[in-house]
Amino acid sequence: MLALPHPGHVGQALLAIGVLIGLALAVVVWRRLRPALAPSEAAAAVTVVVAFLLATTVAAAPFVAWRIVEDTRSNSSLTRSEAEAVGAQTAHLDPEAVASLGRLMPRRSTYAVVASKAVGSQLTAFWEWAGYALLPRTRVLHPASADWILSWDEDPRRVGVRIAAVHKLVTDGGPSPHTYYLARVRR
Amino acid sequence: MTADALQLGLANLCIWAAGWGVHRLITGGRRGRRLGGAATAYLVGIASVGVIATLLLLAGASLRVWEILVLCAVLAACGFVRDRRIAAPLPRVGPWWAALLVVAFLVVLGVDLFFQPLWAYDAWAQWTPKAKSFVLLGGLDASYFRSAPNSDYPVLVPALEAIDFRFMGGFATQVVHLQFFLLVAGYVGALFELLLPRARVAFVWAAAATVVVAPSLGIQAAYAVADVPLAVLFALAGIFAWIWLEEGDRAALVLLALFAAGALAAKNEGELFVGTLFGLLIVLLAWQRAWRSTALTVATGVVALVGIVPWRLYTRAHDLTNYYAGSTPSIHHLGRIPIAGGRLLKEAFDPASWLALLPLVIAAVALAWFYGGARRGPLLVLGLIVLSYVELVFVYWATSLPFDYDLNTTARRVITSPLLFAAALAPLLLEQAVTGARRAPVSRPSSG
Repeated sequence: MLALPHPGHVGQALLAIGVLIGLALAVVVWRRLRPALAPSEAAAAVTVVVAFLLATTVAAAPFVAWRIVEDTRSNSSLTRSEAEAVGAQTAHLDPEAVASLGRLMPRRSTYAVVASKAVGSQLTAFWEWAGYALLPRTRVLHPASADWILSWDEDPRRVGVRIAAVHKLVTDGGPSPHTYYLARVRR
Repeated sequence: MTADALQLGLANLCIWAAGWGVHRLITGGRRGRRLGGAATAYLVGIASVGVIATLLLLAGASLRVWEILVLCAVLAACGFVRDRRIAAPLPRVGPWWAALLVVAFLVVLGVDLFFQPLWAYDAWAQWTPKAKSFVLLGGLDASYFRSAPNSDYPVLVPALEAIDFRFMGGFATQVVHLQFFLLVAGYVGALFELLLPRARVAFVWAAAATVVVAPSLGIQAAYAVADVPLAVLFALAGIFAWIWLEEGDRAALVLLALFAAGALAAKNEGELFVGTLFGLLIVLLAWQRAWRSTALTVATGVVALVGIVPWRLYTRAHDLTNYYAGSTPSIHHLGRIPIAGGRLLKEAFDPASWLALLPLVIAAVALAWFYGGARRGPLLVLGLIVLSYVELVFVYWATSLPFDYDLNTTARRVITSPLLFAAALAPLLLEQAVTGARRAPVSRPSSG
């Protein structure tokens, strides 16, 4: 879940309440279940196991439920477009840059993703986010076999394929201010 | 979003109808009460529609709405082959007080998943894009898959998401989390349906409530990746494996094959867990010299391979990458073994993830063994947990991915299947502890 809160005082209070309810339930289970299992040699041991399990579960329930409700409260305020961007933002990517350049490519065209060495391991996330966000345009592994090149901080004219046209997008804000390029490969 | 949710509900209603037909065909309707009701039928639908959808994708279909409607109608009609009466199996969840906490918690989880954005890395990088590709590229497109992460992973989960997207007529990636909620709810319902005829309500309620409240299950459902679907399908396979082992019901064996095929079609780890489950079953039956049952189990295991073999043939034919293909254990990496072993134990025993679930299972195994005199059931459960643990440690030892990255990103998730399996069988072990293995509800017929 995206927005689980830290326990804090509310969480600790709910845990305390849950523990009290859990203990009370354990007593009830001990009193009611053990006689029902009485002919069995295992009655006491099984009752202890069930009472312990129910007590720990009920003890945790208010706290866990509160965290889920807080997560719901946070997520329910997101608009559809904000929710769509969350995946990229959690990976420190700029979904708007990918989307705006991606719209320039015809549907069903192919593209390769490149980046400067400075981007480092973020390239994988960028590559994967493009693969998700730009469908039905499909990603290919090698620039030479692509119709387009989507680049992050790397001039596509240096990639080693013939380029027909280049679109440049400079972002000066957001999670990752960078220069993005979209280049059409000359056939 | 509400309209999307209703359309997702409609898709799942079709899947439930298909499952109802298949379940009735297998059980003959007569034994429905002992082999599950509405929730079990829904999961039968998930497994059967999921596996068939995978095969249809391989055959060139694109999972359009009419294709799914025809498929579900055909499967639903199968329900009239052996019994022409209309008798929808109703949910059986025991007394209301027992169900109250579980249902209330499921509602809270369902509302949360309704608003959940698609934030988990693997969800938007791997699983949901594959589903989108089925819709936008008109089916299974090898050229897309060749550049997709984990392109060799089986596609039951993307196929289910694609069905949801087709019914929605768009890509409501928040609402699609309800698919994972429905799987969790189906699992919990099936626990009540399948275990209440065999174990006391207090035992079933304790296990079901713990699973539902356990933070890790809700968090993983919100990931919208394949681990929860795999775990649910595998746990159902485990319950039917138990019923086959302890009661000798051949309908349970068929349902075992179906859920095993579903687990195989859900994720790569399914091969590991399903292989272990069948291996244990075969050894336990052969140990009893039940040769005919052993042979039937082997045959069932072969049938279950329909969930994965066609997909593996496709991935080989189209050169789809297996990230783990280069994995080999190395003596230079022996230090990984204690790290991976310790991490898996920490995740499984962590009360902040699974509450007291694993201690309950271990206690239930011990009580069934020492007080109930049971052997088969405890060996099945303990054997699966221990062997799965050893296999997972081996996988981490041999991984060709960066070890720390692999362990940190997957350790929490890979234990979910063995844990949901064990949670499902723990009430049956407790029942064996108090009634004794020889006084189990149904004795095994002479089938071997």
